[in-house]
Amino acid sequence: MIFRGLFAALLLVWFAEVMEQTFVGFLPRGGVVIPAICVVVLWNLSAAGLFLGGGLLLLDWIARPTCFPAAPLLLPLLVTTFVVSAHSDLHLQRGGLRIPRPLLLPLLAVILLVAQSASGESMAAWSNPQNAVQESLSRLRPALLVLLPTSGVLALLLQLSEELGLRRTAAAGWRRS
Amino acid sequence: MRALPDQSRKWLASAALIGLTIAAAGAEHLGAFSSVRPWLLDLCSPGRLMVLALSPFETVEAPQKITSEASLPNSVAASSGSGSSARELLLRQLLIENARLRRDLQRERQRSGPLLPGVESSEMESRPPLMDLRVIPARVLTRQDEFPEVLRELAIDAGRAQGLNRAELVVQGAGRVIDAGREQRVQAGDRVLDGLTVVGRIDRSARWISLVQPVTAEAFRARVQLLRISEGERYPGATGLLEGTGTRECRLTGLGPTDAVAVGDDVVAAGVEGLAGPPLYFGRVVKADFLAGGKWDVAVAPAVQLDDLESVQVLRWEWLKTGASR
Repeated sequence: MIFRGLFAALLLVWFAEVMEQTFVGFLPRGGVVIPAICVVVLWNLSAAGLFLGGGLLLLDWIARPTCFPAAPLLLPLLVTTFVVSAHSDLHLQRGGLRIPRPLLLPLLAVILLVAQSASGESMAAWSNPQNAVQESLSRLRPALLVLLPTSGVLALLLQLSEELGLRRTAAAGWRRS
Repeated sequence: MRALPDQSRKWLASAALIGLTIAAAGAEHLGAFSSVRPWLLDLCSPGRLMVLALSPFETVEAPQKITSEASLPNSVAASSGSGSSARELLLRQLLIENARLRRDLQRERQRSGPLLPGVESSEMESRPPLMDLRVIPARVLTRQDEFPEVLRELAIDAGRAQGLNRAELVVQGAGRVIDAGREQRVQAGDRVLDGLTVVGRIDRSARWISLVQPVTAEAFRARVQLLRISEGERYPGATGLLEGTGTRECRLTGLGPTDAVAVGDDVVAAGVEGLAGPPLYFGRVVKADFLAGGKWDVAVAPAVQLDDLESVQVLRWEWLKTGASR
């Protein structure tokens, strides 16, 4: 069972990487790989899934490095501090913030993409923050155009698989924690 | 032994990941992953090749010989549409060009005599060439407009499977005519061999992927020659060493205090592998200061635009006489 899940996760992320490498001009970096990694992490929210997803994101950074591995650093922090400690089946609630569960994947993917885009600027470029932010935003726009629909479809599939009983509910994983 | 609660395991996994990431960032800073990177990128190659084979998009072309005749159709074809009338026009132009070149060659032979002492021109013609230069087309897999500031290497989809070795030059097809002028009877509007712009050099190769060290990378070095402009004509000038600086400009070193350098001089390769090859263009001198110690401080702006690079070509010398290739 564990090996089947591991194989499926590796296959999903590998295929996402293949698509990004094949259609370099059409699929901006992170547009497909980041949502795929988020699926691996959010599938049943276990420590193994988190380690696997984070490890794959780190491998992606090693293969195609930016100035700083912001996304691989942010992923475990976000998941452990915000997602795992939420206590509702329907939504994630932290303080006054309330996010419906199906929006978790797109939101996490967008945050990771923003982090990756920001880490693409060199330290020297951040000496002029206005320019650096503009550069990052210009890179972010085409990537978001791919990432948002991809993560939306994957979030729907994740929800559907939960409804169909194909996976252990994330809520069960959260309740155990 | 009691198992850890689930929450604790997640925190443990998270801490391990953060530690690994910080360690990886340090290792990357020291260049520890440079040998792993092509291998990692290569893991996706079987899938990429499969998707390319199934998709209707263009695939990698077969290697082709590079001679002035071979390059000519490329440059003309780009500007001449795809209809049959355009092809006929192109064919006619090529025939005229061919005839003109043959006539010029005959005149040159009559003027200068045999090329080698004791060897007749006809004998030279019948001998096979000792070396053959081929180009291997490749697509750039890492988009440079994403992170141009941190660019250290380009990944291309050609590797050991295509016979690539380390240090082979990588060029961009779209260049300019730089070593031909009125002296070579080139007139404005003539379609002649496109100059090839040097992108960099193969740094590491995996089976299907290679990493290219761009001309701007710190470790890049190449022997170059200046082309000086005088009265509208270009003449060969001093030779030196072009060094990447890790910024958008390169540095030209090895120039003597008596060498003449000026802003606007073109920088070309001083031969590939020590041999005269096709025209390889590096860039243009943008700064030339003569320092107090009798040394030149010369900055060169590379001609290649790494930001919008989609495809490149790898130059390969092949030793025909022995059958071995370098």
